[in-house]
Amino acid sequence: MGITLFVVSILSFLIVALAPGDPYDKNLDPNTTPADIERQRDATGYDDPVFTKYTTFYGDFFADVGAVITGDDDHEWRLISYQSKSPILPTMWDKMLITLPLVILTTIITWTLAFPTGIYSALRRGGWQDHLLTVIAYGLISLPGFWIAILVVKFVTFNLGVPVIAPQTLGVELDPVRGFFDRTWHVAVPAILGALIGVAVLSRYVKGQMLEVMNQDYIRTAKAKGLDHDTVYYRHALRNAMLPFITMLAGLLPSLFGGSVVFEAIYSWPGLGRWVFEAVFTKDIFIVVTSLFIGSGLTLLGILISDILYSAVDPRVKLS
Amino acid sequence: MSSPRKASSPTKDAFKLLFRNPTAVISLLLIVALAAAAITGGTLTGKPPTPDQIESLEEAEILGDTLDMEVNEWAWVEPGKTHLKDKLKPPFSESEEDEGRVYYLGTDHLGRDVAAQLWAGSSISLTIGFLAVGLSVLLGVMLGGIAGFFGRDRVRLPLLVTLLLALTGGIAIPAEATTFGMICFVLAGIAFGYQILVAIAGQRWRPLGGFAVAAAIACIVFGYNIYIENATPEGKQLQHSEEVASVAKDVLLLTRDLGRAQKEFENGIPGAPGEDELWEDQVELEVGYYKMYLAEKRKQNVDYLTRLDKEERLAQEQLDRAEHLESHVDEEFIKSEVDKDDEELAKRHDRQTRWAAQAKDLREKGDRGALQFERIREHIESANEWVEAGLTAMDEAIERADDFDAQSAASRFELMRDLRLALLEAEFRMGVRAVYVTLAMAGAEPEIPDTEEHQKIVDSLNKQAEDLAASTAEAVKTGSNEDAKKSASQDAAIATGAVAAVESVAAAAKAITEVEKRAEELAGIVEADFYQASRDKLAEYVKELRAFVDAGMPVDKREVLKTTADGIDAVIKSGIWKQDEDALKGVAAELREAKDEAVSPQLGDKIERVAKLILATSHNRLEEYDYAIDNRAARDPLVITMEGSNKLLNRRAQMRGDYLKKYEAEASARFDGNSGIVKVRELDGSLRYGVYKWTRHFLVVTAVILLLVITSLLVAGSAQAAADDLRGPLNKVFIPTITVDDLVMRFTEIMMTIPVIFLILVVLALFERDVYIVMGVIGLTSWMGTTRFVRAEILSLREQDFIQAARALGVSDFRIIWRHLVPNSMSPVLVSATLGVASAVLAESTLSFLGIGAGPDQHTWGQILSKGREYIQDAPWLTVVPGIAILITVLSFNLLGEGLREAFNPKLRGR
Repeated sequence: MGITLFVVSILSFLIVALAPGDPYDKNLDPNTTPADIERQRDATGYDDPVFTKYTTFYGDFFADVGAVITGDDDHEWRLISYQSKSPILPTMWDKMLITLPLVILTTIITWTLAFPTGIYSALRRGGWQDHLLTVIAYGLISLPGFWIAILVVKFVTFNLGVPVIAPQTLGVELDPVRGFFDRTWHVAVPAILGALIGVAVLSRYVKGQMLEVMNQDYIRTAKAKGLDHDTVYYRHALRNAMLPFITMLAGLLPSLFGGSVVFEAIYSWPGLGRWVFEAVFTKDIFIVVTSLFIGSGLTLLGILISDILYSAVDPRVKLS
Repeated sequence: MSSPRKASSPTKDAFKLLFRNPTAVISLLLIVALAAAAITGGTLTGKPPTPDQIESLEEAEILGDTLDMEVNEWAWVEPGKTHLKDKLKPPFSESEEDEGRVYYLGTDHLGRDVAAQLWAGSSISLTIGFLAVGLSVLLGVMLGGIAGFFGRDRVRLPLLVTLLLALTGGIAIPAEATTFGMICFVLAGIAFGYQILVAIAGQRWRPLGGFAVAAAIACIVFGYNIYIENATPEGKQLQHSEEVASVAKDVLLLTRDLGRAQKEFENGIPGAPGEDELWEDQVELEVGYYKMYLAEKRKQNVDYLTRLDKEERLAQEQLDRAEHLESHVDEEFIKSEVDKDDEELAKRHDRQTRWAAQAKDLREKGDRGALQFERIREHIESANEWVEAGLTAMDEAIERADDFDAQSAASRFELMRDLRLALLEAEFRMGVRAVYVTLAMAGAEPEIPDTEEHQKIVDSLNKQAEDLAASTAEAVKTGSNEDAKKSASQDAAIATGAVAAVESVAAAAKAITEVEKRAEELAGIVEADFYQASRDKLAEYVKELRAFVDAGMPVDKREVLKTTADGIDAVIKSGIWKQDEDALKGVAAELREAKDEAVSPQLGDKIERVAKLILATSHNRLEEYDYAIDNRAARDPLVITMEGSNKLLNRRAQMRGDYLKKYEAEASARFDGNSGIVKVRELDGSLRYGVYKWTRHFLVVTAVILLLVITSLLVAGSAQAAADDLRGPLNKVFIPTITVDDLVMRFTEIMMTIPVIFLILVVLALFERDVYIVMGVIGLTSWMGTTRFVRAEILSLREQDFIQAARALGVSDFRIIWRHLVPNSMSPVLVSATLGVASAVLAESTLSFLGIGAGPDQHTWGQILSKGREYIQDAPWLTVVPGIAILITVLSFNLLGEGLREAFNPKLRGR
């Protein structure tokens, strides 16, 4: 795992750092002379050899991360954005706080809805309910997410008259109660839309797992010895069917971090995804490398946690 | 495989099952229909035009012409055809412009039929899906197959380290760590060579073949790269830039060394270089500066020639276009009287007249352009010759500087003087050529070989102009109606202008001759008494030129050309003495004002361009010098020499104290480590070209190395065996190994760890917006799943009895792979590929929606949708319709994929 992280650190850095293009190419300020720009390049170490850049970058990065972990308030941030000149990790934390409510709500809706629907359609296999749910699920999976989001925004905003762009209505002072509802609307619409597609995907998995387990011999045995259906399905089948979903937890951690670039673009959320999206195009390479590295690190962490959980839940699996 | 009995194969059964599934069949039919639309969409519909082309659409429609736009002859749907009257029509509405036409899916903001656009766009959208999936399946199957089949082979870690060394070298060289990279390459090369030797010694030909193929591919790629750099104008520009960069780098290094030596000398450190050596270095440094300057000039000239090439092509295009229009013009018909009542005929007459006028106009422009370009080219080429001469002189100076040891201060000065003379002459010649170019650009006659002959030409031109004026005046008098009178008076004005222009041309020409004469004279003066006279004389010559212009010019032109002279003067000066920037700005402003007074707007424009050029050059150069060396004395050694030998020595002493010390610190800080290429940017802004070139090399090198890695992995087993044969006594030595399976799967894991969406964004940000790059990126980031299950599939297959039997029969690996493993492991690949197309189409439309997918002239569905978003309130169908098209496509691929999955694995039925 350490080796993987190391290779990822090299790869993500090289992809970004060796890319052609230059953040200093677009000189927008008429008062800066070419000489000033050269001085800036020197100050930020932009022209250093890649090896030097790599070591300085990760040195700064881990120094900052260390400060975050130890809660050092007096720490002088060392990773600074090229464009906005603001420290990267604190900004990233702020952006993440904007993204988190949306992602958490989406995840909660997805997981709470997906299991009941999946189990229901597994139990009603072949019936019209199953067929209906399947058709709906496929329709939702095939929907271009951004497209349906645009249409819903159009409908809610223009036809219902509720503004849902941005995390909250901007430029209006609202009393606490109205403010609460305002924020709820703003979070709920994207969250529900995002969750719909997630539910469709996840419920298919749940159904598949349930069916797989229900074909097993021990279920037949349980049925044969006369256990009532609820005990068979919920005690024996569901518990075993749930196991593989622990692996899916691995994917949750990075998604909490990354959010959705597309949804943030449509709903104008100034969150993490959009921040990185913009950084990519202004060639603010430190932001991009930091995000790539943290994203990869979280994925690895998620895999590690799910492995541990798996071995704790399933006695057949042993940690090697 | 020639079994006579056609047993029911599992694949056949699976397809039978598939065709019993109604959803799958419907989706399959839909997909076939979509594929048909995609194929016809590329051939039967015209290509949608770019925004620029829309303007010229009207004319193209009348002419039945191709213009710049590709109109498909077979097209019966024109996605690009605009009906501005019909803009933003809802679906199922009738056209107002085109009777009987119904827009089934509405129109967009330019009145283009949405249905037609969707049809045309389907070709790109679906092709992208298929190609991306093809790429990902290819990679997935290849890597999965290698991991599955060769998985248990062990790659020796030394071989792996060799490959990594080569890869590191490939990265290190463009990353400015040249020495380190070269060491890596050499080590990797030796190791590869050893592998090859082992293979030859063990008579294993397969690894050799693999290496040969890889080497051949590498040679082709490198050869192509070299060809591109030598044969294209851009490549030539690149070469010149690189030359400037390398000279600049030398200069900087020299400065650093000199600074160090100076310090040592001053501190009296034993073993420090003597004064003579310091002198030699100093000369070298100065020559370096001049060389850099000249190389830069040459690069500028080459840049200019390249630009000229383009403009010339433009002129040629204008001529072609004129010819084309002329071929449509019926002269007789224009001359004929047209019956006013016949509307159709009158319309045609109007059109023909318009075309004729246009053709005439274009032809004039083209002819004029061609003539000008030829002359400008001549001058620039001759300026380039002078640059070369200057460079040769520099080289000679360096040679002379070599035997400096015993020379006196006087002879040193002689050398310095010669050096500067050579530069001055080159620069002065270039300045004269610049005057010619300026005049040629302003449309004047730049060819002034002989004064008398020239006078004749001018006289005859004068006469012609006078005749023209007289005849137009006559026409004005005798003109019957008002219109004719008006046009005739315009002609008269033009004629008067022409007379004035001819006069000014003559004056300018004389001025030029004068300048050249002065140049000759100046060269003589410079030889005789360089220090005292040269500066004054140069100033004097400019003064005289001005006086000359004052005396010999018509009033309105006088100012213009005078200020031009000022500007040129300033440029020449700025090249040598670097006047204040403000003064130059003032000159440019004057030139701009003068432009307003110019009679011919064309001349005015040209002059403005010159003004801009002057401003740009002076500004850049001053900035560069300011930053590179902050000391005026250091900035311009020439000034010092001109001010006399004593002063020179004093200043040099000062310089030693100030700038070298300062510069030494700076330079040594800059040159820590092995970096060099990027660091000298201060001395030449165009250096970025060089960096780009290295980046490109990096890509090539990486591609080649990847090829080597793959082939090596494939042949690893046999090379290994050969090595084992050879080692003999060394056989007991432990050499760490790693299985191919581990290697491939670790790589797959790493790729799965990096967040895909960020990866795609980063890669797309590197390139211009192009849907085919999107395709490549989607393909390259989605192969990991395929790899994993292909590996699993092959791992389970290779243990089965029929594979074992084939092995026992002595069937070759290749045949086992192709005849047994691949066909038997294809069914899950088919399923995942079908689902993959769905997600690729979705991904493409999402990226296009975010504005980083399809290029502006590639009308994919996502592109149409994202454009329609602007009109969502007035025309929701622009968003809804393409979205539904995407939905249907994705849905049918998903359903078919699911059907296939069920069919191949009946156990899953009903899931």
